[in-house]
Amino acid sequence: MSHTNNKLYIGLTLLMSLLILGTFPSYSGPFLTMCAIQVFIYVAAAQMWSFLAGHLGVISLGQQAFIGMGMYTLAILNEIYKWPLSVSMILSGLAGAVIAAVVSLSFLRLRGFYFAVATILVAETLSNLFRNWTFVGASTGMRLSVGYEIPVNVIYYVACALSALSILTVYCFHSSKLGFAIRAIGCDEDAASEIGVNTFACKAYCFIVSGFITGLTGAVFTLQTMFVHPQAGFGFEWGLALVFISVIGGMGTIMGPVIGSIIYVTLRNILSGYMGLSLLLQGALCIAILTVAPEGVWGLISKYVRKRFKIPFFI
Amino acid sequence: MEEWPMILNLLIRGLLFGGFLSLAACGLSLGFQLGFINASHGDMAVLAAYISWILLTTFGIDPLFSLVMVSPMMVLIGLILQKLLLNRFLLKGNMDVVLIVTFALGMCIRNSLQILFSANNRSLSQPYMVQGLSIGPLVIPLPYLIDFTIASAMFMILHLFFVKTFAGRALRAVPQNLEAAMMLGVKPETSYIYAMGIMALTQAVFGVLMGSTYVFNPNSGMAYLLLPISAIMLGGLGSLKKTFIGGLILGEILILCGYFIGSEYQLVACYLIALMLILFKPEGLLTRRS
Repeated sequence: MSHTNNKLYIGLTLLMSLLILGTFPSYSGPFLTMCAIQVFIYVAAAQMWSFLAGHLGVISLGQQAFIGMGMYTLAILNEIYKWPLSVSMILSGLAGAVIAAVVSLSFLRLRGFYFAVATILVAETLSNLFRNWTFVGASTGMRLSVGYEIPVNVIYYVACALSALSILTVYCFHSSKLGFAIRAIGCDEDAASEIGVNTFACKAYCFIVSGFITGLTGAVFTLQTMFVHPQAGFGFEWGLALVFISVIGGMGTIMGPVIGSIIYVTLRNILSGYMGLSLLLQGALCIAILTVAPEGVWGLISKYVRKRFKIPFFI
Repeated sequence: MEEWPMILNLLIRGLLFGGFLSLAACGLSLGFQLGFINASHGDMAVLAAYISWILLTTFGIDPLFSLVMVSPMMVLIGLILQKLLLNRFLLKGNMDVVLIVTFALGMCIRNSLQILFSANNRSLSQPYMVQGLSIGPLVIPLPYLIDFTIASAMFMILHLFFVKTFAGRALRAVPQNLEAAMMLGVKPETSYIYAMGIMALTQAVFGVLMGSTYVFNPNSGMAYLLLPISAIMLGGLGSLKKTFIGGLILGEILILCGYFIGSEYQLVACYLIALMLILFKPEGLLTRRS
């Protein structure tokens, strides 16, 4: 009985959110639509980071490598070689996946911070290479003219679909057979490998999927900004943004990055004239949350709901 | 044959620069051995350089002399940080959280510096430093020589600390065998605080010297995190000597790549070598695989 009720609730919530999100650009102004696009982009990338860090203990501080690869692949294929946009978008996701595959096959066997260090080094190496590559405009970057032709509403729906894809992927990770292996690794990696979980393959698989989705995120981000630049793609701001969003919202939850992204985009747009202050505040908030409430905002909310209303509350 | 003095000059410069870089690596390698990584390492050096810059511009204190004031300040900052913030996570064994916290901390330092001092390049360079010692055909830049001398002196002091004092020996014992060390009366939290003290001290000295040799801006920190990491990858963990030699090799790589390939690919070459080492020989070039 409660099971069917649960399904009904989930279905209703999904329908409601589909209605609200689907009609959002028609009644909100251009500014709010732009904010929503940003939220979707950050949700898509942070969902992946949060999943990797929260469930698999894979801390990657170099997700900007995938963002940048996605951006540049789109720009090179679409702007220079004039390939169709959809093909270039898919290929930019694949470019992220390829980098992720190289990184994970080489470095995922290393425990702890060696992997984090390797991801930073990969991102910085790519950043330096693209900064000196005159074919793509070196450090001045290049323009993506296709961005001017696409109406904002289309970008909105694309970004929305992307973040839905990201959330769905994480949900599938949880509920599939792979989910058991992931949960086992999250509890105790050694024990998991003792009972026959191929921890390396499991982590590598998730990391490569995260590379694909983060690469796509980079491509969608470029559609919105219409500009490709080494600092915009490979900048450490991405790394901090993903860490901030996941930590504030709650690592390893699905709703966490959504809440975190909304907080992040709000903060950024309020303090848009004071970039330094906004980044400083993000860093400080991140430290404060980790010290005071490591489970994040969503963790606090679900704890409260569980206590107050005595209903199980997952996600 | 007329190229030889040039190449010899480059080699000497690489050695001097490498010895200087290994100063930044030794604090980081201490953290590595204790199981955590301080991602705000480079930003601490830049912070020290800015403190020295304030002392220089407002009070006219010479950068080299300001070391006497900057070092205690940085050590104090480091100790407070460790005691109030990082020990909390370290003692619970949350090494990943330490990584994220220090990453966020680095972002805080970088952006507060940017708000306070703008993103312009600054320098602590003094007229008497911009000279070269010429011995026959060899020209040794004076700032490099000063950096190297002070770095070597720091290494000697640290070596004495690790060998002669109880705190130093305790610090070496904690990564080797925590339980045995605790049985002998070593408190890990005290060791962590000492490690951070050393880290902050070396970064203060490194930062001020770096500022007087090169230009710096609030965003210079990342290179001074990744270069020492590369030095540690080259030398391997375990002892000051390995870190020092790793730094020397890295210095040679940087200077030679800068000359023969071009300075824009200097860092790329260095990061690629570090990545290769992480991949094929994570214990470092100098450690034999057992």
